[in-house]
Amino acid sequence: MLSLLVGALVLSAIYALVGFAWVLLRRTNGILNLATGAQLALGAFIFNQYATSWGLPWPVVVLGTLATVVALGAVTHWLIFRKLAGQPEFALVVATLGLASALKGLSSLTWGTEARVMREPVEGRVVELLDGVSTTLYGIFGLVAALVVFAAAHAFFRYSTTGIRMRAAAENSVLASQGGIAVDWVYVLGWAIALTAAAIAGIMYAYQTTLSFHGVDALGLRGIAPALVGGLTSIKGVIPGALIIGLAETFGVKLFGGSAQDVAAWVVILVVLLIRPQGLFGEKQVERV
Amino acid sequence: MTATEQLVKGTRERPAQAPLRRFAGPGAVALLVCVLPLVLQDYQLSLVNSALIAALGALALTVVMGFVGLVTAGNAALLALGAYGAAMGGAEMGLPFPVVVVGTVLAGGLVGLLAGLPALRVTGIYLAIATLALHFIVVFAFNEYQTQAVGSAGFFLPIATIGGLAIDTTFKWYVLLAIVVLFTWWMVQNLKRSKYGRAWMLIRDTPLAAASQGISLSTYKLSAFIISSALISMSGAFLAYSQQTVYIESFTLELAIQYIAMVIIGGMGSAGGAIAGAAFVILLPTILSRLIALLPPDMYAAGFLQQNLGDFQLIMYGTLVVVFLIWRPDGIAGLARALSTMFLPGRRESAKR
Amino acid sequence: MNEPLLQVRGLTVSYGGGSVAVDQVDLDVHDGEVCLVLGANGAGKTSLLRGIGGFAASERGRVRSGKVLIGGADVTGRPPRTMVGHGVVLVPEENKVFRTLTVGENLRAAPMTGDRGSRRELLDEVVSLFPFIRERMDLPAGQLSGGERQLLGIARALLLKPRLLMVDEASLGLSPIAVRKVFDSLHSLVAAKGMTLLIVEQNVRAARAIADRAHVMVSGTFALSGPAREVLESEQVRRTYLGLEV
Ligand SMILES: Nc1ncnc2c1ncn2[C@@H]1O[C@H](COP(=O)(O)OP(=O)(O)O)[C@@H](O)[C@H]1O
Ligand SMILES: [Mg+2]
Repeated sequence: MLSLLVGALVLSAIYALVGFAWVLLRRTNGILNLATGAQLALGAFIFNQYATSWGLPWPVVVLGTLATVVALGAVTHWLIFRKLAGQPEFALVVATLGLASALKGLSSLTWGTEARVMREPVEGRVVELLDGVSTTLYGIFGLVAALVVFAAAHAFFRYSTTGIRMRAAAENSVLASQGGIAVDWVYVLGWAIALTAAAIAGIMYAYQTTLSFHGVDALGLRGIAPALVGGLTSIKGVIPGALIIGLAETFGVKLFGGSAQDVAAWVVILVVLLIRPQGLFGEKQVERV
Repeated sequence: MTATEQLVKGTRERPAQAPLRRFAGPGAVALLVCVLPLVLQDYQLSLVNSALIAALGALALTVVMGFVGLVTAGNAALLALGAYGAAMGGAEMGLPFPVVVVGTVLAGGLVGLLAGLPALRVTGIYLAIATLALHFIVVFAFNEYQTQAVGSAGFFLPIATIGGLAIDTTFKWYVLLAIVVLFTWWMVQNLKRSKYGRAWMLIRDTPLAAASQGISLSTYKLSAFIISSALISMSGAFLAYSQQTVYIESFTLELAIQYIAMVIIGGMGSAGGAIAGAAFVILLPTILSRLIALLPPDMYAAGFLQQNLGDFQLIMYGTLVVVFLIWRPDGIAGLARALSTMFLPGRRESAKR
Repeated sequence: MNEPLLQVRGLTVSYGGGSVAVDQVDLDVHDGEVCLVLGANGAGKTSLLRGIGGFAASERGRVRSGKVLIGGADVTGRPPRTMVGHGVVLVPEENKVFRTLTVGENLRAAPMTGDRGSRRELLDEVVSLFPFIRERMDLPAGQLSGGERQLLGIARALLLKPRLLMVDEASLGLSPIAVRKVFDSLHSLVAAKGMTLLIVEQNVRAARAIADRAHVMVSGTFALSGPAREVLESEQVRRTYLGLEV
């Protein structure tokens, strides 16, 4: 039982990171990014390219992945979403679907579709917590990464001038522009942070399982569940959302077998849409009339 | 006549067209439908059949995406619903083809109701989320069902028969599909001009105005999604019968995106555009591999392209969706209209309308 | 007289390629001048200010033709942020503040220029103009009263060091006391700092004290222009546009 809970917690940490990516983009850039799954996988494959294929030193791997992902975020905004400014939300969502398809093709073209094992930074993967309760080092690392990302995000949005301007632009982009804020750079930053969180989640997940586009992509899409439970635009709402999804998936697999992993999160989504579509922390968005 | 009716009906009266122009469009289509089987080989005609089945789905998707401006990612799930409905009804229970088709229409409508009802109480993007959930749950369910019933090879379907007539050649399928597509096209066009169609487009363009006219947004959105779901499910049944096999691996999220690509490339909100988009998306791989075959065979690039055709398709569909959204949200249909005004000055007036 | 700070020539603003809200308007505003635009609802006053201050790419509004010059530089059709860089700052008609940000955060959101010392100085100066800000620093701006929101909007604009400050309907929806406060502040800005103002205002009584020139807008064009005193005293204005007792 306890080891199940530990497993759920470790999984929740990854879901929290993915959910963070969904919420951040929805909130600052106003985009429901259905390419999140593909971008998660892309981040992990880029990391793997530097770490495993090229065998670069670890600091270079980390910084190189970060730089590449941030650059991808900037390109995504300037090349696609800046050009779609003023189009209805519908067009933005469809564009993310197109992006997902293109990224999948690119990834499969570059790295193929077989699962890979990534080069590991340390040995001795299994950590014994208590008697009979153990997890991998990567599980613990994922938890730490999630804590760090959420704490950093909290501090960033509350105390830094850039974070405050991002919140301003998220609330009202026209007023932000009238107030002299460089809204386009806010959007670039939104993409960069979201893609970084997504890449961390993808890498952690790949270390805990294996690296395959399909697996990481599916995880990234399921990450909309913690975001939805929390209300789609609430960063703090992601944490309970991630715990709920982590528990649902872990116990779903325990009760119904491994294939429940693929659907547990989606069932939670349908239930949430049915009983409380605005989520736990979202504002009510129900259309009057 | 209330103000609402007036506004909604206002667009109905269209200036009388010259008879020649009025019948030119349908005439050309009729001619094309008759000529195609005469000039095409069997293999080519079977490609046309695939495009026709896709056109059914694209027409249906146009209703919810083009007319109402909603995103749905559930197209592959609804196709799977129709296909597995056909497998269960036709192969397992031995029901006649027409009964199966009607059954899949009803099943599609019902699933559309169930998935759309909770999502459409909220703003539009929740339908995208709900249909994404629908996709993964439906694929999961049919995968389980298939594994237990027949194993991973999937289902084999009997030959479709209508009133004793077996649809057992490419040509017969062509005739059947052409009739169904033309009928659906006509229906979607009429739907667009009906009270519903005008309300849908009002919701899409100016939701506040629509609401202030007492149009119930969620009811109208839901009705569009149900109609669309029923039609896509039906096209899944046609797909299954025409291929005579059904297996779960073919119903991917990428397939759902392909259907979206048809609507976007064809031109959102244009029924004719949806058909053109479907033809384009279905024929693209063949055209691509033909083009690659023109390259010198010893060229490295040629082999590389040929081997990775699937990946290039994904890249091209995705890129085209984004490019059309940015550059021409009105798609091929809008492009054709713009070109015809450019080169046929006589049509300028009618295009302005 | 030297060159006007703002020169508007034949400005035409339309929405979604369709309806024309501002039709070929000419307007000059000189340094240190307070210019008032009056007119009925829907006359195009807001669209005029937006046409000068710029539309964001996400909006339907566009400058269709005409020119906007600031200190002789052509800035026609530039987005709002660029206009801020040219010293043209608008306090818009609706949504003047970021409601989910605190008062303090609203001020910090303004990208101020200059070194740390001069920024501090300007901030202190602005806060001393609007003393309520000091007490409300940590309150979400959405919870401020209408008058306070208006003043916070003006304060935020002042941090951007405007050469031309545009205020759209400063008194809309405010109590008479709040209107008084807002206009006292504007008055002291003009008197103490020589601020150049372009304001849209329906409340003629309040605007009369500070306006130098006035324009009456009717369906997208100026029907009457001149020194504020003359325009506001003209019988035509009092009767037709302002509905005041003669
Ligand atoms: N965002 C908009 N979209 C379409 N039309 C608009 C928009 N804003 C204003 N208009 C139209 O432009 C005209 C002028 O409006 P506005 O400039 O707001 O007038 P005023 O500020 O004098 O009340 C009106 O007819 C109004 O309907
Ligand atoms: Mg106004």
